[in-house]
Amino acid sequence: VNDARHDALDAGALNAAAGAAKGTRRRAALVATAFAALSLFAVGAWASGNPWIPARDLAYERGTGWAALVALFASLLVTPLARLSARAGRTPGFVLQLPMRRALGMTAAWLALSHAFAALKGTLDWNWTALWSWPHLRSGALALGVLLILLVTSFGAVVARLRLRFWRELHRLAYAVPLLVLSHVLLSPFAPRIVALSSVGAVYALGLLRYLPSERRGADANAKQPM
Amino acid sequence: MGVRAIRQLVVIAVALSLWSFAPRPAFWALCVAYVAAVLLLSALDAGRFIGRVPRAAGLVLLAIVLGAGGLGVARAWGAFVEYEGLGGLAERVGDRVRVEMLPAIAPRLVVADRPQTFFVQAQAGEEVSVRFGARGKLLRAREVGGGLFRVEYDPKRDGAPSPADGPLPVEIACGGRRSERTLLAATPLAHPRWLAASPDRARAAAVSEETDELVLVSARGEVRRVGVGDGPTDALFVDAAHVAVAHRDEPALWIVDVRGTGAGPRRVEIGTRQARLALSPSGQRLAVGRGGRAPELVLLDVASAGVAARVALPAAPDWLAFGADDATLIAATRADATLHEFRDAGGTWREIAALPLGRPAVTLARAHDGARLFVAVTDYEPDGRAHLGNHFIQDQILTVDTSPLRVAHSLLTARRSPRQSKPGDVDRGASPLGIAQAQDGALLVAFAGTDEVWRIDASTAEPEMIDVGDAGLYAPHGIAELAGGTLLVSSPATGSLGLFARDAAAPRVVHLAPSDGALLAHNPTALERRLGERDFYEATRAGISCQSCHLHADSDERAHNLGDHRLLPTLSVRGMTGTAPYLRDGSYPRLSDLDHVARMLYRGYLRKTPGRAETMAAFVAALPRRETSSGASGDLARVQRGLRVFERAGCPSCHAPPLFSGLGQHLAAGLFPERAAQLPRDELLDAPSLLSVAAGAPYLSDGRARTLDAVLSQHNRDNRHGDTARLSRDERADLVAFLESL
Repeated sequence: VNDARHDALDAGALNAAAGAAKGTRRRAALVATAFAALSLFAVGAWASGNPWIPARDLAYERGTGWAALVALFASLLVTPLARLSARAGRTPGFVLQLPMRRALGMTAAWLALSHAFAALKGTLDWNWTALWSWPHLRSGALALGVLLILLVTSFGAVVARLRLRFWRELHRLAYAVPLLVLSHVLLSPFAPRIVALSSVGAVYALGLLRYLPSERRGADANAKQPM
Repeated sequence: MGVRAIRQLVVIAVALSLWSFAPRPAFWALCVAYVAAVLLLSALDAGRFIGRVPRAAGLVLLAIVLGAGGLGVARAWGAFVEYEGLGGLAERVGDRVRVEMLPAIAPRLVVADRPQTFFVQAQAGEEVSVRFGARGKLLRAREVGGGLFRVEYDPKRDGAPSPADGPLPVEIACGGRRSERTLLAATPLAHPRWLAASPDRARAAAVSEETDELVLVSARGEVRRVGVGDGPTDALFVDAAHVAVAHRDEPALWIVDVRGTGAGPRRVEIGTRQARLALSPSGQRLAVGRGGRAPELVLLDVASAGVAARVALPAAPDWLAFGADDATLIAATRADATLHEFRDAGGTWREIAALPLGRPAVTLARAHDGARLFVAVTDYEPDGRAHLGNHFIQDQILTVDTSPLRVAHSLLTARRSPRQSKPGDVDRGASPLGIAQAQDGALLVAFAGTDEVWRIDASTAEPEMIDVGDAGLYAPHGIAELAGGTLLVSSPATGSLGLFARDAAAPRVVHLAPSDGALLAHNPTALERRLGERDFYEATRAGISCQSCHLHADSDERAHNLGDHRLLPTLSVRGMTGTAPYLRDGSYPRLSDLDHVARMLYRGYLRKTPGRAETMAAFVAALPRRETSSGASGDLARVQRGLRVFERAGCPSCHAPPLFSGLGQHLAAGLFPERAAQLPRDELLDAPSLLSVAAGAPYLSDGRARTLDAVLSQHNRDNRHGDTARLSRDERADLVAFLESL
């Protein structure tokens, strides 16, 4: 009974995101898209202010990287903050609901892809072997790979086609991505270490909030509450 | 434990088990194993199975699988850390965070024996003051521009760092705010190096640059220590009663009356950066070699103490010696590894001959008659070219005729096989650092690499050897013969001098610095440094020591084949603390990792010493950065213009102030696309600190740029190593002036 229930829960969680109220989904998609567009616009504006091509390349690389990081961390913080909000007796708004988490996670994957493209075109000069040769590039590429896997398996049809009965466990890989990102940033030539360490530390520390006991109990709550 | 948690643990356990079969313990293997575990469990429909297994049995099974996986992880952890570049992460992140945390100060080392310049990065326009140690003065910093401040600290004027060794709290006041940063303090102990005997050989003189002392030792072991000016670098007797002392930071050469009459020294103003002295055969002329921005020879008339001539040199002279007469002077310069012979033609000194040696003179001594010089080198090629063997070192003593200037004879002291994987005859005779000629004509040589002294007599086949290490005189540098054939040997690393009398049962050792035991009890940090200094000079079983290429922790300024068939210039190991990771490609995250090179590549050491990696790291960490000649006295307006150009050219992206390095590694081919064909495609370059960059020529990782201007112009054709293409000639000159001021 238990296993059947949990398989149902996995599908339920995914379907909860996909089948949430249309308005919530649309708003989440809009916010995430706006964030991505604004980020790319800001990065473009920052980069175009520098006539020196390597500096422009660097601006694109760094800007898209940090934007991806913000989207990823925001996605990971949706559930803990929802728990906190619920504990405070408030009904979480649409920004703290499952569709928002999903949309932000997908945005993070797209921005990370832009970051990888900017790096390959810029400082790496299409040197694909470097991706495998140096630890910080390897961990960055791996983080992107994980995000893309999670992106692909964020669609109910794909999950059904793959018969992924451990979908929930697969998506918990998202919690390993900040570690890969940290390794990527700490070993990279430019990124500020203090910002990287403090933001990853904050994400994991705030992530513990998800273990706050929920106010509501029961299978119904499990299906409806964000994870 | 809920079903959800058990499912998660099962996935982790299966993933860890799969990971233990991975060809490489890596992040990617872990992620692949995790995804594979998810797919496998999904395919097996394991959710149903998990639900049916009795909870207790399931937990036991899970514990077994998790335990096995955990063991696999523990076993592979070291390889995992190495592969993912996580070794020494704390050091490299710590150094970088120190640069990022404003107000930031660099360099990280504070030494008590010399004036130093520090840079602070803070808010632009604020008043910034710095206090070194709790008892130091609050020193006002001067803003160069853009929030970069410069502060001059002279321990003698502003108070010695307190505590003298180890972590040093430094207070930085910016506007009304006070911040504390921790630097590393080092107070060097007495270091007597080269020895000069008096004409009657009744005593010998040495200076200790670190403690500003002239040390006089008689053949009977009586010691007199005389305070002299800042940073004495060399001493010699101009007659039986007077010793000339050269100084690094004091603009005057001192002539000290050593009869004990109480008379003060006679000062001859010739400028700072005095490096080496030589006395002419008649005793009427004294030659002083000077370094700095305009290296030169200064010829003094001893009787009048007046400057008779100044001769410009292309590089600072390491060693000086007169030839057979007062009109012939030979200077050994490191930058071109050449002996230059000068001749006085009616008051004008001209260079009449040059003898390239291929490697710089490590030490040099004059024969009694001046017709020959004895020159120690780490290798010698008659055509003056570099030996192409990997890390090739073959210590030898050249006998050089002074007229005409030519190598007459070569004596190999440590025979090394051409292939370093095969043993040579290197357990003796490594790193000759001190040479003197005995009264009877025999050659006396002190070997720092093998802690021994040789007496080489032409009439006997084998040299007479004395193991001075047995007397605690490790890494001997100086040697002199005193009256009665007594040998005086100096050991700077241990701060001691040893007298080896012919008829004495045991040597007499004079300690100028606390013994190892005293340091262990009261200053273990200084003991660690001392042991590291010994290790630095000690030869490996391959006949090579750190000193072989990094002469006195600096560079031999030669290019060596470092194993990939490319000639690369030797780097200085000074000023490295706080700049992790290390080496050109940043492949060594900790200073202590450098010991790995000696152990793995050079067959280890003869002496088995525990904790060698840590002591060597402590020694290297306490080496101050190389000195540059320009400083506070430079043209401030020009330096400020140069800083603006530095920022406009994008230099701070990689050379971030105040350390002037972001401590990052960059793909070489991306930085220098014009060199991509000659470089390995994945080669990384560690962004070096630009502090003391003026003293670091030649520039760039392979030394292809002779000047800083060449770095910015002809070696940046693709304009990726800074945006220098649109700089005017004047702007480039300003930028170079700024770099030279660091």
